[in-house]
Amino acid sequence: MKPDKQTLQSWMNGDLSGEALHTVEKWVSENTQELEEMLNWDQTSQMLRENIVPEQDPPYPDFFHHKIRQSIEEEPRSYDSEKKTPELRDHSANSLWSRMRYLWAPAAVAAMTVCFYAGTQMSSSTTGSADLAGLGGASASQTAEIYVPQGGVSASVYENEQSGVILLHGLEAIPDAMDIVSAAPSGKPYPNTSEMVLVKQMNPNYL
Amino acid sequence: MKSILQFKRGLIALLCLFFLAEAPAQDSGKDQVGELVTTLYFATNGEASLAGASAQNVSEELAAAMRREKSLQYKNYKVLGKDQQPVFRSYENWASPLRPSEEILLRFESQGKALEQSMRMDLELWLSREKMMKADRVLKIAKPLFIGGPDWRGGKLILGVELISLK
Repeated sequence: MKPDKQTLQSWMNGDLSGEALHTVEKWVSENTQELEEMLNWDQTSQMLRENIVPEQDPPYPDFFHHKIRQSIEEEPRSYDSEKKTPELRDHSANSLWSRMRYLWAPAAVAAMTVCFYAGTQMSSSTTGSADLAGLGGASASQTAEIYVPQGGVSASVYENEQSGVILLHGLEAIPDAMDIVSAAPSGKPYPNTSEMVLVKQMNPNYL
Repeated sequence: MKSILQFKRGLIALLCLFFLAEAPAQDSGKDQVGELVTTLYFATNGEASLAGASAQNVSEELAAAMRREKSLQYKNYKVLGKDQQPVFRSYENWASPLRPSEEILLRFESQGKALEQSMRMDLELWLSREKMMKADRVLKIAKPLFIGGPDWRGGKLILGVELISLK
């Protein structure tokens, strides 16, 4: 049985006796080489302890450690920024540009297509909102777009196979005393209906 | 002498070209592309004679057609006036069913090429010289559009608009 270090130390100091002394001497006689190594280690450790200055904090240790930590934290960033020289950076940008330049043409065409489609959709939606405003909340027909310029007047649209109906609500009643059939034209400026072609306004649908 | 002659010929040719260019071009916009009939009806559940002595009766067929629509269901119908006007290719036109009265007018204008049996039209109803309604609508032959207008003498004035032909 290998004696522990303290027992060996006691044996070397001559403090052992009796059975303990006998046991250690027996182990030493059988393990001479191992004992020599242990004694060498002990001597090496002793020599190191005697020649190396014990650990000492530098002056202003907090400041020193803070600067060390700051340097460690900044090191990766500075490394990334300094790793690429201006030439390298220009080269990488040019490389990216050269790779992307073949995508500009299809990207431009796609953008124009999207803008064109969006434009057509915006035009349609504008027409629809004007119709709803004109209807004043009344029911709308798919085949009719109604605009009612007079305030307080609204329109309803009904449809069947034989006819269509636009019903105007809120119109001022014509006085019963008025004979609308023989009512004379007033002097207000108004298109002369007998001339048929009144306002020569070109229809843009034919242009 | 020869150069003077050539100059004169060239001048005459230029003048001819100038007058040809200035000649009035045929305006195809005035071409008639259809015909529209507007009829003003007086619909009432009361006395039909209130429409006046000149009012005419409505055919039973037409009365039945109007009664099919709930909003136009009345007991009696009378015709107050009728007007038939051409539809121009690209010019507006006006119909005045109560001619010479201008109390009720319809402005109409085609909004596109006529199809086989229909045409998209811009319609405006004018009452007492005020625009009351503007509609963009597809009119079909033999499918009248009835516009329910103002009340009058206990009844309602209804303007019938019908496309009767297309060219």
